[in-house]
Amino acid sequence: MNAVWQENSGRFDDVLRNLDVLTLRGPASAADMFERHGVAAFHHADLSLFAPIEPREPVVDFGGATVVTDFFNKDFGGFVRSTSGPFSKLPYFNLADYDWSDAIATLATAGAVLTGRHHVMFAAVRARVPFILMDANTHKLADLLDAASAKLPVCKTQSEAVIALNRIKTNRIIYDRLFDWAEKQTPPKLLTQTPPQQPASVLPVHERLKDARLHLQFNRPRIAMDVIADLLEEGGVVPDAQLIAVSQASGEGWRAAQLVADRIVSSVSPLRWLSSIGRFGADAAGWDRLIPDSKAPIWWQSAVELFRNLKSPEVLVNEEQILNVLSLTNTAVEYEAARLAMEERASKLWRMDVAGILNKHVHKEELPMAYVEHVSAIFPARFHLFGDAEMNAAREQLVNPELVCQIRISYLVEYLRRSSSDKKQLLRDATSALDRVVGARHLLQVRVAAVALAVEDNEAAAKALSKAAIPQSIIQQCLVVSNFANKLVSPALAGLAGVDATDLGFSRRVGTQKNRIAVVGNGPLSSDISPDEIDDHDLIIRINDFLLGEAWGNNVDYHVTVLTGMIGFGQANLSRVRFGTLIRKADLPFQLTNWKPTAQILEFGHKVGFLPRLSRASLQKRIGTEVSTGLAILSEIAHLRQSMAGVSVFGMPLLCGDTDRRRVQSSVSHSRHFWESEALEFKRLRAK
Amino acid sequence: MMAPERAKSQRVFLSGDHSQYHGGSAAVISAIRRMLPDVTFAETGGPFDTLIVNGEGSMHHDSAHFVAKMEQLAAAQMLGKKPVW
Repeated sequence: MNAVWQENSGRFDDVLRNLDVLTLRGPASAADMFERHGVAAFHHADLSLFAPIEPREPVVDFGGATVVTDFFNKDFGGFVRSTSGPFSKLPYFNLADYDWSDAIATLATAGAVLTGRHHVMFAAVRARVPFILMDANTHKLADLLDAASAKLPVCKTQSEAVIALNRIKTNRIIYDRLFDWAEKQTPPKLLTQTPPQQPASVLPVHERLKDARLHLQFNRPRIAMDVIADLLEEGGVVPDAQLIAVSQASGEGWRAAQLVADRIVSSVSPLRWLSSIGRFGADAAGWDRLIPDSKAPIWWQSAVELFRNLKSPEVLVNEEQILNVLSLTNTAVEYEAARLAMEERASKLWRMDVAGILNKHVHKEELPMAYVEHVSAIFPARFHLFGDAEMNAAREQLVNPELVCQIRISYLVEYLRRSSSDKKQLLRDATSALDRVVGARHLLQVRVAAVALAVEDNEAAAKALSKAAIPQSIIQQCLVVSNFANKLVSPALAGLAGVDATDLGFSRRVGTQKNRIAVVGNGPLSSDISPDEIDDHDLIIRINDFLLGEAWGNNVDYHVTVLTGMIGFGQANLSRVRFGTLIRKADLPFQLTNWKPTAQILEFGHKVGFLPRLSRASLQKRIGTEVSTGLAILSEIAHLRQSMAGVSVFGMPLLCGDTDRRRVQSSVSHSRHFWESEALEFKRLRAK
Repeated sequence: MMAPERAKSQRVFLSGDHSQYHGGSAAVISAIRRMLPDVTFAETGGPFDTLIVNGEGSMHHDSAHFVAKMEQLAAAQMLGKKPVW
């Protein structure tokens, strides 16, 4: 009882047939038992679901963090723990350290669990904590998902897991349904469980396949298809070659595709799905019938559209196909394009073609030159001349919609800033430019932000937003990322802008007195400051534009743990620093403001800190002028710590009452800062 | 198939107790014992009427554990025990 069952030989078939009770852990196991051995078995959820649990305090409080366990590795033939890569830095959960009640109470403090362990999955279910599954040595994980009809992925690679983690919020309803389903399960009757009825007329699988082949041979393809369809609907496994032959001969490829799609819809990969169904030679009209109902994830519909264009998604090799894929700007589809490009054509295609194709087409479409220059500058920087590790990171950056979106927003803003002051023309240019940029769907988010920024027409922004066929959560992220959230004041957008990021780690870390903090502005640093003097702090907050090394009189390289504010556009060579060099130079965990997914993907830290908007607004109201990000940050720190003890300030001469050759005292400076007022406020903070 | 009331006097030998492995496996055994409140669980080597084999994650790809557990069931059938798996 209570067993997974997979791919065993028939040497014990007689024993199986004579068991009084036989129960298995899920439909995949029951299907394997029936198909290989002709024995029907009752299946139920793992019995740990029915084990008694006591109310306990958590042994460890993970504070909502994603935790990781070990997972099965085929090379080692056993379970291994990740010691490098993005998951190595996550808190580790070892089920062997807990009894069942403690394990559930402890997991309940986590935000998500990444695991290859069957019983950790069940502990997460009982704790109602979302989980990401890494493929194991059997279908034991899929057994639960199949039983609960939960369309969740079982990830085969680290990259798939990263994507799945990023989708947890989107998939929350699926998890909740799974948890509800689990709570409704009743335990099997261990000694008296009646096996499911086995129809006497049902032939073993191989006999039915033989039957289908005979129908085909005697020119009865539709009957052959019926036999195959019955097999698939009963959960039987039909070899691809036979399914393709029957479906093509019967002219009912779409029907075969639908049957297969129904079984693999839980896959994380739409292109894998497309590859599978594409092989059945389905006619174009049939694809409409494959589009699920309106509740289907957007990527699915995108993938179907994609397939119409590609015809053969498994050979995704030419320029047009890559562009088609990229134009969907769908995380999963882009990911698959990248994966296929990497696997099928190796690094050469990805390193040379993708960057080149993107640049060429951006030029072809006659985008505004300022925009083109920036896009051209950043893509080669990100994709050319990288080694494998860097390429993997770049690939993951490309498929991250938030990253792509922010880059586009950043350069759009720069374009707007440098261009005409005619707002209507700006709007037309911006819309026109954005329409041509790869990424039609996320483009809508960009347009919302751009429109709001350019013409301060929030109603128009709201209207554009209403047409965006993307999850609201993604729009929220993009608005926050782009720092446009506080500019969107329309009631229709208010809900989107109201994201409270203060609970993402900044407040806790900054507010802890024992953490020594360095706040580094973008003013000149004294030549006698050594890198160690800054690096010795527990938390280093870097503000706005900056250069490493010898620039602006600074000759100091130091680590950065938190960035705040918008990173400036005025320094062309910063494009290299922003997402690559800086990060790789830093040994300390890197925290990128406003940007949790990217920080995770880049393997540098897991939390995000940025300036709470409300506190900045409050400060500005009190002082009566716009305040610099530096002062706002310092004010927030003083508020959180109730003191400035343990806080060092570098590169902020104006706040310290000194001079700065780039800025002017006694007058309103750039961004309407008034430095003397700020210096007075800073003095007041220090005296706290 | 045995009628439910017969379960009350059963002496059951439970094979496949992996409680020492981790809390999840211990939970399975705990659940089994909870679901069979009226049977007597036999000690190793003691007499029993029914053999319950907890398969868990070992019954795949003709693994050594699979073979061992199936041979237990085969032996129980030969001895006329009621094999539950």
